[in-house]
Amino acid sequence: MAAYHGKQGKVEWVSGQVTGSVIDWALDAVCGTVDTSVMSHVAEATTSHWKSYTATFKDWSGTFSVLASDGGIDPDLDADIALDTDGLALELFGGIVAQTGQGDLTPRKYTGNAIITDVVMSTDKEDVAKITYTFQGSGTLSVTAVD
Amino acid sequence: MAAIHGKKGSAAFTGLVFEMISFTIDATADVADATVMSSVAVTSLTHWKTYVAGFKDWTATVECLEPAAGGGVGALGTSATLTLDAVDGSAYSGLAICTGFGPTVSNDAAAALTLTFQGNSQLSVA
Amino acid sequence: MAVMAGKNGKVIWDASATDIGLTYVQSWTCTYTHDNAEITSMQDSYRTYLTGHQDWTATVECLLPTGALQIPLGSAVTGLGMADDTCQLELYFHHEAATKYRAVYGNAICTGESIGETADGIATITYTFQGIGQLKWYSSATVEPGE
Repeated sequence: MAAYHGKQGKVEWVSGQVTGSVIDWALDAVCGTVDTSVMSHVAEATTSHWKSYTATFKDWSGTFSVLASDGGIDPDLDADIALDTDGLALELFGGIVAQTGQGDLTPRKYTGNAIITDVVMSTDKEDVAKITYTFQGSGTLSVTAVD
Repeated sequence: MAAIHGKKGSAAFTGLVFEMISFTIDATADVADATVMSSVAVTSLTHWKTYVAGFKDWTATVECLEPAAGGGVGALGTSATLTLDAVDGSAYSGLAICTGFGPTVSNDAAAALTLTFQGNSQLSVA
Repeated sequence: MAVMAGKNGKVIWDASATDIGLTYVQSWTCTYTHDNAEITSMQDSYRTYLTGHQDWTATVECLLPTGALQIPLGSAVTGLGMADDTCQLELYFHHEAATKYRAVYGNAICTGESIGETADGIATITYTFQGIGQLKWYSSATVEPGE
């Protein structure tokens, strides 16, 4: 099964609202664990006395970065982010379904409800202005193959 | 005893697809400080800290390219046997929980995926 | 929609009748945050959250100019000092007189001025700001915000 290049990726926050000038995105989905190790009254051996764990809640968060546009901040602080109370639909596309010259690739998109928690805007004299959004997932993270 | 090139490595875990670049396993043994007072005269031989071994533990991290069909986020939080095989060397396996699933996509690179695991039983070496 | 080169950026510390354009600006960063509180409960699979307060801070890195500090330490008669709370911070992605202004701005307190000098470098000063109230996007072809 082949890998794919990220150049055809996409980000949408709020259904149908494509974020412009995306440079990259990253997602971090984790599952918490609780230590359930207990005493074991057996002789020490290679098979004995290993720690054990139980899985707890899953959680997800991540970032996406864009080149800042003179048309405004997108997602917008006032119209989008400030008014959000419990998260909005976020879609992170790894590529597009219809491929040419790349065999039978069908990249996936990750979707879920997310809250944008941080917006870092930076301007350096040696670079172009950039914005990095950090999001916190709230609820289920899904993956589908829809473009 | 010869060295092993990593190019033939493989990995397996139910529900996950690996386009593997690297894997790392960290196996550890807890220690408890058992140091006590000693009234003998101080010499080069005396008054060293002592420890006793506790539980053993292991975690693993696998770096991949994200497969075009998806790496399998549904495996997050599930428990299955993880096998990390150096092929020309040893195979390491044990029951583990998939505790991390992290895809990253940028406009100038192949999409990547980082997977992390918490061992949940003995780590075996074959 | 165009990207914005950092070389056209600017930072203005504005007290209405009087304003200070910081000199020798190398870069600026503005961080907006939206708090969230967890509401994850038993029987949930993924963690869930609700949003809380918004906040923002900024950092501006400059070369240290000769002469008096541009933002006086402590309160100033002009109201433009560190610890004065009646100023507006204007962080420009693009500042081109009478042509194009793109910025984020809002009321702020200058909370710190960090000066550094090494034997083999140029003396620097880093300003830190705490936003008071809303951070706003500004776009105009003619005037700076508040003019």
